Amino acid sequence: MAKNLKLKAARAEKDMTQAQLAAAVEVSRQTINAIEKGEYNPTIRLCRAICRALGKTLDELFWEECEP
Amino acid sequence: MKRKWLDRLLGREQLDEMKRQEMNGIHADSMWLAFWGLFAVMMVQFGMGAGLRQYAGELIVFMLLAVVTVARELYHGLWDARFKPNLKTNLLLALAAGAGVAVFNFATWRYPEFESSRLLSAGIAGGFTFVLTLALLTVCCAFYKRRHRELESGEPDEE
Repeated sequence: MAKNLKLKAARAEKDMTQAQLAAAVEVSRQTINAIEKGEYNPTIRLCRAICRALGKTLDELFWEECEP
Repeated sequence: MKRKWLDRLLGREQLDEMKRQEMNGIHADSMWLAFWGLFAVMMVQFGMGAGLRQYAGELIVFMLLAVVTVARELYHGLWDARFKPNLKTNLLLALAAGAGVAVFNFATWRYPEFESSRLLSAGIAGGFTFVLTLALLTVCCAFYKRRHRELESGEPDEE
């Protein structure tokens, strides 16, 4: 699974640490770190919570364009 | 799976979804360690000449683990992660079980005065194991297919 750089950028844009985002969506920092590194595939429920916390849409954070 | 009664009894779960998955994985590994560990312990005890009374406890726990796991999997319409539910696979698995029992029976033969019956006994034990395993797999396979059909046909999408 590829790294989620969009999530990392959106978090930086909001000036949030992984720990702060983790607290906002009620998960551990390890979970946020694993999602950003592409090591964990979150449920849609957690994706939505992250999007709400960062003020982004699912498409903006989790959509990947198909490679030609 | 939400277990609301457990939340009421022990309080809200403290793990997030990733940590829960990790814990479930650890529990699954531990369950299989206990399952095959019990199996190995029973084989060693039997091989060393222990009677049924001496390993009855292990056998009860082992059978409970096996029956509960299979019953729950069938109820949820699950067969196996790799093996397909068909006659060919069932035949191969039953053959492997029969061969295993025959070899074990031959290797742990306890009656030196009846050495000539050793091979025959191993063959009969292996043969019966093959037939019983195949019958059990066939019955479970039929249950699985029926349950799978039920689950697949239930609660259609709204138009």
